Amino acid sequence: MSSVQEPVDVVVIGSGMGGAGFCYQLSARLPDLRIVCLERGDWLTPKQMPTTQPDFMRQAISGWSSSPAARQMAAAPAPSADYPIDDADSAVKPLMWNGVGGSTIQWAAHFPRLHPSDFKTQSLDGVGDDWPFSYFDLEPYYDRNDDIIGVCGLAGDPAYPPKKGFRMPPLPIGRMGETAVRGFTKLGWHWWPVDAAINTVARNGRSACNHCGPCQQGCTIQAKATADQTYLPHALKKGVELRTNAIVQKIVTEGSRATGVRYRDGNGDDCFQPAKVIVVAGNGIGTPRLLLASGIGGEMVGRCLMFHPVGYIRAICHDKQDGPAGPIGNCLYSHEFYETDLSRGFVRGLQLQVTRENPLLTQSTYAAPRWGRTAQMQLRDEFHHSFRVLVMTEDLPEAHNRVTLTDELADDGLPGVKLSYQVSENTQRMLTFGMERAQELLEAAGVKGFVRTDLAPGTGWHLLGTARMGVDVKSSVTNENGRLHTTPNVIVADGSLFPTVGAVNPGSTIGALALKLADELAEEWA
Amino acid sequence: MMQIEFLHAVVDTLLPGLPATETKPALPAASEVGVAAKLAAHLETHRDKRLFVAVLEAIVGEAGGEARFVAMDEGARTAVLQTIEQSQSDAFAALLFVVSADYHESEAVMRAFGWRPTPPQPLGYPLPPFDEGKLEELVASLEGKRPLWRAA
Repeated sequence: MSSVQEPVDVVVIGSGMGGAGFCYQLSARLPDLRIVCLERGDWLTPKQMPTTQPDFMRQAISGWSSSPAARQMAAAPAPSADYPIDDADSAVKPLMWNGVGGSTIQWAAHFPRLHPSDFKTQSLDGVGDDWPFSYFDLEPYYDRNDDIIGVCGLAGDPAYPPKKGFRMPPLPIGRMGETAVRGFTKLGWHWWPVDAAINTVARNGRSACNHCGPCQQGCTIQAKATADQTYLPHALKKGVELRTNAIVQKIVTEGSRATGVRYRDGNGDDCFQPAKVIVVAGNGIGTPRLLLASGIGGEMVGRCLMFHPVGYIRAICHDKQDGPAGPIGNCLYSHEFYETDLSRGFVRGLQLQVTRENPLLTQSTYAAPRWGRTAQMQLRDEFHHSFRVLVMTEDLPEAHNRVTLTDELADDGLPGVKLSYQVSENTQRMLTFGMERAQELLEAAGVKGFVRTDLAPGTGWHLLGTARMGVDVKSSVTNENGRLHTTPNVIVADGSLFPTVGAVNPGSTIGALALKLADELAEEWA
Repeated sequence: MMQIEFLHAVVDTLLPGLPATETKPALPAASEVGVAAKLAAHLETHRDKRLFVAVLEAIVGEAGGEARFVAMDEGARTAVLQTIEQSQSDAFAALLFVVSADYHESEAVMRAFGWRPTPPQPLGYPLPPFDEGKLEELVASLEGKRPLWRAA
């Protein structure tokens, strides 16, 4: 049964950092607008999260894995509205959450900004493409975003231009941080406590972090900022209507104008939602999937998929460290090797990120061999005595790395989706260099031993670049306002837009970008 | 129906107990914390029970019977399990996952590893706050490095 809904001004597809941020800003600027947000998943309550349950460790690597593929295979999958993704030809496997709040439900909330140079890689280094605006154009939105989300950290980081605005005190760096700092100090390398979207003091009705550890399983005390606990409540108060379990099937067009979206509601009924403007924020896989299924956006849709390939070293220490305590992705970082230095053998750079340990059961899976007396001895030696140094590298845009549709129809009514992705030679050299530096760091810190993972496939959190913005119609999908070149009343508002990706987590930039794009639409309509 | 002694022998080969050392605590064997009994229950109710049964039957076949496997020393049992792990890797991994999860979720095991045997919430874990005294040391160590970002 098909029903036509009342026309609205704007329909926003997706309620993660991009979609919720867009709803927030547009409804704040123009509260009389009729805005509907369509979310394929549902709200999540703290009671549904596993961290208060005895089997939380089991859930972390099965039903509550960050991998939609792992969740779909689990006996008790988490309530994420997942769809199958063929990642057999992808060197990095995608991670995401599909529900109200999007992937912020499971993110680590590490909240760095891009560097100014990340916006001008072609001009500065002759690679990638420049963003159609600069860091300093985005800076006011970074600041506003920090304020809405709530950020802890320490002012004065020499890796960045001075950041304005309030910061809560930084997260504890713990014993593991102290161990890593010994190495950084000995080598004279940059380090700094991370910016994190985590309350270190109670703020805006949300608690302070109690260092429980597994941020990827949702935050029952709401210390970790998520889009459903920050942007969305404000947007809903301003009159935005959120429809959950609404799976958009197609953006309907007439010529070069979109007229609305066809979606399947929670009862399985087909609906048509007319709208003047359609905003797509379904992440770097969901967004190109919908654009491709709708036949809009042009030849570049889905191309230039970027992930930030990651390697890491587990440090095994003589002294007791913190064990699986503290927000897992957030301790401290180094941008010593972030900017281009061609003597290193590659262009652009990387981040070293010192992160905390996983729960006991997850740590047991690191043993080699996996079981038996040796494995037991290894786990007993390593538990409470380990931490990690991640090497997060910058991907450059390459058209052959892409999201495409398959010939099959998925259960959600949309065509199946496939990833094709290889780590480039430049990024591989960067990874090799970064792993050597991480090892040098740990040797300087005096750790007992380490275990290297030169490329960690299961780290594909950052789904970027597949509907890239730019000024050249042939090499981009949208203009600087996020509007599709082919269909200008369709706006993309998520990480798909990134022409290049730097070497830092993208959440902060996705949020800032969404605020900027919404502001620009508001200016146009004001 | 498999004998509980056989299941004990299987889970204790996967996760044997360790005696205490001067610096390390003792670890209980899997059967000491009820893992074999839980595995027996999984064979009746778990979604993957057919996989588990297939692995266990393969172990019996390789060993020449349940009793023979039970009578083997740890080295011989390990060799049998390694053979089955190679021939039935996915099913073996599924069995290992439930056995390992049941073991590491056990209160006694978590205590043995020196960790609080309750979920992380609502109590969380104490960590000392960031030492602001470190700031001076930090800034001093970075003198001469400013700025690390390029103007663009």
